Amino acid sequence: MHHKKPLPGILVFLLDLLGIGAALGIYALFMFVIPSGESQPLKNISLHGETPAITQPAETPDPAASNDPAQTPAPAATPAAAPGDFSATFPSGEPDDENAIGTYADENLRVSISERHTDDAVYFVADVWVRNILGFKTAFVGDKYKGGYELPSDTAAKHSAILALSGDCYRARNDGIVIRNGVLYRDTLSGDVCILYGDGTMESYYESEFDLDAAVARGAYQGWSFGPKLIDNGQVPASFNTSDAIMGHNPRAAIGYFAPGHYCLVYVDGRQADYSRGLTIQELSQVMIELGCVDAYNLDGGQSSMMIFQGQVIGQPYKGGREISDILYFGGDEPKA
Amino acid sequence: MRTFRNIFSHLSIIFSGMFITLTILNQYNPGMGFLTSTLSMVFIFLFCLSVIALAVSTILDNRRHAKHMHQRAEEAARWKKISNNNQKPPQR
Repeated sequence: MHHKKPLPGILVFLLDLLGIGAALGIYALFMFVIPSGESQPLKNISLHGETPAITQPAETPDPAASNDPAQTPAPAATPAAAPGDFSATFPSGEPDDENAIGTYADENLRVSISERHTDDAVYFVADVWVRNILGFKTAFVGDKYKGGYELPSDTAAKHSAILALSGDCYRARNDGIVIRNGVLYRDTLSGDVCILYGDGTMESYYESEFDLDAAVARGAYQGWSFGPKLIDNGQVPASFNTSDAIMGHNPRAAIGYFAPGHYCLVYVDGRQADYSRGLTIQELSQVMIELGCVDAYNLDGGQSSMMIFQGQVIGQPYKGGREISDILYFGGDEPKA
Repeated sequence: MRTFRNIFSHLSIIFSGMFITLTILNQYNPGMGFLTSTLSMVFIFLFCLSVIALAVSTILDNRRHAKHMHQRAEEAARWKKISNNNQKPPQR
């Protein structure tokens, strides 16, 4: 029997390495480059939920309650504002934050950005008021679901955003709730979830507690999956539903909720030893509580995080930022997807 | 069989290397779902198939080798017996 001479060991080793590289290349190709088939929206969500909002009827004055004939009956209550319309609470006039490094105000949007410092981190807080929930917008890269990747500053510029923040980079994962501008695109869970409802309330949920059907029925308008949830009943959570790698000092992007129509976006510079190390998740949670947020949620951080105000990148994003798949923004064009 | 086993050995090395890389990446950014995505599940399935094929071919090969060795040992014992008989001293 004729035996072939075996290949040299080093060549076999190199060929195996090449095989590993090829396998990783195929993995990356299918994972990140070639869009998978399911890129159609799953459901349009009614902004005001499936159950119409019930307004309390004005109380009929009891004639026996008052003996004073001169007293005029109370005027009928003005019709309740439509859910998602915050005109009643929207502040008037220019923002008067003397520490602000940038402000913007028009009839539908008010933004005030301030720079803050901890011992070893620099972060920026954008205090945002919107007159209507429709002013709280999100955008996919390329204006379509699974459209690709680009720098958040480029996406913000394409939408002429007044204020923008990097999103949850949904495209990097195959799971995780994706609801954008009232459309459900993905319904599988991956980590904690944050939902902004059509009535302006924002709630974050632990993965184990989230009920998608209930959120849709209530009128989910935006939904992100990255996390973790940063505030639990007004306190720093006892534990966070995320990995150790995410827990450490990092650049951050987070969203906070004060009241319907009033939110804050927080951007943290990090991974720059001589300037800002970034915040741990625990520290970020504490910051959000100190800002007065009722609820708060961590978005994609690290090199992905970036805040843009009137076309200018705020702070010093780590390595100039990274191409991601989505942003949330205020002002500018209407979202196209 | 040997070629078959060779191919699956290299496939197993390639898949192992790939998953070691993905595990390290997953430590840095679990949010990317390097080990939990549908695609990873497909690769894990292929890895399992390759390892099973390698294991089965190795076991079959080992059994065949053991059987062969056993037959050789039996044959050697038989020849030894014959040769011992041939060396018996002549009867008086």
